[in-house]
Amino acid sequence: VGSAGEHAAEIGRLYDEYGSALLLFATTLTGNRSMAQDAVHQVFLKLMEAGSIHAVSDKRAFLFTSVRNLVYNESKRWRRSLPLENDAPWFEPPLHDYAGEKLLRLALSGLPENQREVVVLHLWGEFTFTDIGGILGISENTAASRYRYALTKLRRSILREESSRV
Amino acid sequence: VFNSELEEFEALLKSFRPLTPSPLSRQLRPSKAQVVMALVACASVALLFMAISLRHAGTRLLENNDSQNNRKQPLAVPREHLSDSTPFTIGTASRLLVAAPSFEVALNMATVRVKSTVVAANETSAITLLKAEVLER
Repeated sequence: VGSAGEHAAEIGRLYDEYGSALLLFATTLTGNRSMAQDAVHQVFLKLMEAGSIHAVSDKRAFLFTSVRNLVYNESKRWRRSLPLENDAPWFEPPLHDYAGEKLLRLALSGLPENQREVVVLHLWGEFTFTDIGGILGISENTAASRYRYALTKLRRSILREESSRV
Repeated sequence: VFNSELEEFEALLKSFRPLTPSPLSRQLRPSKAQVVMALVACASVALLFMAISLRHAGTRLLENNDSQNNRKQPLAVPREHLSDSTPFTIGTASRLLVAAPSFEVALNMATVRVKSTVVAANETSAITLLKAEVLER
């Protein structure tokens, strides 16, 4: 009973620590917050059922990889059953900058998926490019180069939108 | 090459914090093994219940058959109890009661037996003797 309790506590701690970044990652992959929430929950529930996570050396990378795999495995079914959300927020904006939040969300959505993944994993998942290479199955250099391209595109996109509003 | 503009932009992006997910339900879904075990347990209970029910039904059927047979053949009693040659004493009456399926049947058999008693020509029945004594007085 004690080891089961410790396992549940460990899962809870991981959820508290990485849940937000995982949810954002899943949301950028699915485009739907409900699906993303479902994916993250499924991963953690499977972990609970597994009984132990001690064998996993890099738990954070394992969680992001699991969410990514689950989203890709379930994406066909989800795309048939759930509508895409355009207005559901992804972020808690600084200083209640909700317009900025929407700009960022739209700019992220406009990125190619492989670049969007790298941006989210590096900025909000706090992974190094080496880690990202391991999660996505690409080289460290490819991950870094995708990130630079993506960041430049994001900045241009947001600046363009802001200037058009002014 | 990362320039300062991109670094500033990166810092700005990091200031947007991802939303907190809804609390994780702590209630575990049953695993496949647990589901299988539960199904096996349910099936076992159902089989046990069926076996007990069938056993009860069989016993009741046998009892019904027995009582029906008894009703249909109320005189299905060993022939020795019906033999006219056997004296009708308290002992034979008791054995007749034990062997008979019901008191009613035993009474009928006793009645039949008494009726079937025939007094021989050179004998006198007890009732006749008593009657004669009463008349003499």
